[in-house]
Amino acid sequence: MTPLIMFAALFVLVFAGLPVAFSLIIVAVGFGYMVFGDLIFLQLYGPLLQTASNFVLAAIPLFIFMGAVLERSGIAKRLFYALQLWLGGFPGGLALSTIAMCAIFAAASGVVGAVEIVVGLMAIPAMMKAGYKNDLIAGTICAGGSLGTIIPPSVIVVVYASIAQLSIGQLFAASILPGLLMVVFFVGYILFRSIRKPADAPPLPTEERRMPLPQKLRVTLTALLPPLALIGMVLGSLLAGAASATEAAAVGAAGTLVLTALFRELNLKLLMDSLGVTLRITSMIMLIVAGGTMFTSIFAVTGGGNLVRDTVATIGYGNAGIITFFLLVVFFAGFVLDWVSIVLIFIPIFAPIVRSAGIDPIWFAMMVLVVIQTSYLTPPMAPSIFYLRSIAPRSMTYGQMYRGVLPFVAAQMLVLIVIILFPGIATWLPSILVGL
Amino acid sequence: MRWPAKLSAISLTMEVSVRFFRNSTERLSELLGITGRLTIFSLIAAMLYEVVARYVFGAPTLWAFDISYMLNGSIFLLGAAYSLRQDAHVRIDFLSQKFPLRVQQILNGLIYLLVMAPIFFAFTWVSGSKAIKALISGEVESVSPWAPLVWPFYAVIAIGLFVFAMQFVVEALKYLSGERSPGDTDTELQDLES
Repeated sequence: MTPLIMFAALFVLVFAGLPVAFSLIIVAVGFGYMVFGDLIFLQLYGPLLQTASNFVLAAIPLFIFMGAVLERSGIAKRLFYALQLWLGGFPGGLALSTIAMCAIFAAASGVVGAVEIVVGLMAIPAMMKAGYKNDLIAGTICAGGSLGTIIPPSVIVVVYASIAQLSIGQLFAASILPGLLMVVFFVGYILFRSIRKPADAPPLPTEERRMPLPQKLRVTLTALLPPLALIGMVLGSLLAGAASATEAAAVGAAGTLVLTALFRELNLKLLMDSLGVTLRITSMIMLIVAGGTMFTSIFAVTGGGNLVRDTVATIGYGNAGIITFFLLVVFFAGFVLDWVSIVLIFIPIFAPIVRSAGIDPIWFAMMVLVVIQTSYLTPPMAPSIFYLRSIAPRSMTYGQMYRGVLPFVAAQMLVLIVIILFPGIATWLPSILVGL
Repeated sequence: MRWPAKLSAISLTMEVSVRFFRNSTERLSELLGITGRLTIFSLIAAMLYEVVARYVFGAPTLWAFDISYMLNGSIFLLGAAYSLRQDAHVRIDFLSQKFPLRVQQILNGLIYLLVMAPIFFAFTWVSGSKAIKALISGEVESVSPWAPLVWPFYAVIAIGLFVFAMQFVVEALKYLSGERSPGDTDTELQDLES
C-alpha cells in the first residue's frame, strides 16, 4: 500500500505547483523517514552523490552548451533562408523547410524547447505572410520542436541510458532510423495536406526565391555545411566508437564555438548567455535525476517493485501485456509530467522487469522514447504548446494549436506501430555498429 | 520585509540582519554561478585535451574519467542555488495557476522555508562531515588508476548544498513577502530575447 500512497503524495505536491524535483525529494524524505528514521539523510545522500559522480551524465552540459551557442549563432537564419530557396516552390514548402530545419538542429544539439522558439520566431511570420492555415503552422512548429527528443544526440537519451544502464552510443544508433522515419511521416502529412488543399499552404511566389544558380548554391553550402560538419563530427566519432559520448559532446561544443567565430558572431555576451543557460538547465535536470533516484530508491524499499511485478502478472498476455501496460503508463504520465520526470520515475521501476522478461531493452527504450515524444505535444502539460504560445501572435488560438498537433501525434503513433511491428528498425543499426 | 513605521530597535536589527542575509546569499549564489560557468568551460577543455592526447599524442590521460564526473557534479551543485534563484525548475502549474496568487506564494514560501531548506541543511551536514572525514583520512578515489583525493570534490558538493539551502530561505522570503510569485519568470524566452 505504501508505494501507492507515495505516488499519490507525489502528485498532490506536483499539482500544487511545487517544482517536480522538490516534490520527489520531499516524498522520498518523508516516506524514507518512516523506514530509516534519522538515518534517512545519510541514506538519501547516496543517490545525490551518485548523481553528482555519474560519468555518463557529464555529456549533458556539453550537449546543452552546444545547442545554446548554435541557437544564438545566426546559423539558424542562414539555414532557414537557404532551405526556403529550394523548398519554397513546393506546396507546403515553408512547412517543409521548418521540419527540415528542426531535424538538422535536433541532430546538431541535444536540447528541446529552445530549438522550437528559435525556429518558430522565424518560421511563424514567414508562414503567416504566405497565407498558411494557423493550425498547420502550429502543428508544424510543435512537431518540429519535438524532434529533438528522438533525433540523436538527445539529452533524454543520455539520461535514459544512465538510468537503464544501457550504452549511450547504442541508444543513439538505435534512434537514428526511427527519428528519420518520423521526419518522413511529418513531411508526408504536410505534402498530403498541401497537395489536397493548396489554399492551406500556398507555395511562395517565384520572385521571393529567384536567384542565379551559382549564388543559390553558395548560399546553400555556407548555410548547410557547418551544421552538417558538426553533426558528422559528433555522431561520427561517437558511432565509430572513437570517442565516448562526453568526449564527442565536447568536440561538438568546441566545434560550435569555432563555427560561430568563423561567422563573426562570437562575442562575450553570447558566450556568457550560453554558459548561463547551460548551467541552469544542467542543474535543473541533474536535480530531477537526484530527486528521481531518491524517490525510486525509497519506492523500492517500501515494496514498490513487487507491487509493479504483481500488477504486471495479473494483467497477463506475457510480454505484449507488459509492454502495452508500461507504454500506456508512460503515455498517460505524459499528459501531466515532463520528460525528465517520466524517465526518472518510471524507467528505474520498469527496466528490471523488462530485462527479466527477456524483452530487448534497446527496442523497449525506443518505444518509450517515441511515446515520451508525444508527451511533448499532448495537453494539458504540453511544453511545445507553451513555447509556441509565448511566441505566436494573438490571432492563433489554443484550439487551433491543439487541432494542429493532432495529425502529428498520429504520425508519432504510426512510428510507434512500425517499431513494434518491425523491431529491426531500432535494433539493426546498433547491432552492426560494433564497439559501442 | 516591511515593518511598522514605528521602528523599535529590535525590528530594526532584524530588518538589517534579514537584508544582510539576503544580500550575502544572493551574492554567494551569483558567485557560485560564475564559478559554475567557468567549470563548464573547463569540462569542455579537459575532454578536448583527452581526445587530442589519445589520438595525436597517442597517450590517453589517466585523469579524464575522474575529472569529467567531478566537473559535472560540480556544475550541478554550483548551479543549484543559481537555478533556484532563476526559478528554473520545472513546475506542472496548469492546476495551481488557478489558485489565488497569494495562496500560491504562501504555499511555496512555507514549503521552501519549512521543508526544503531544512532538508538541504541536513544534506549539507552529511556532505560536510563526509568532506571533513575525507580530508583528515586523505581518502582517494578507490576505483581509479589516477586515485585523486576526493575531499575537494566533496567540499564543492557541501558548499553547493549549503548555498542551495540558504537560497531556499531567501526565495521563501520573497514569496511570503509577496515580492515574487512561483513560476512568473519565463526563462526560456527571456534568454533568447535579451
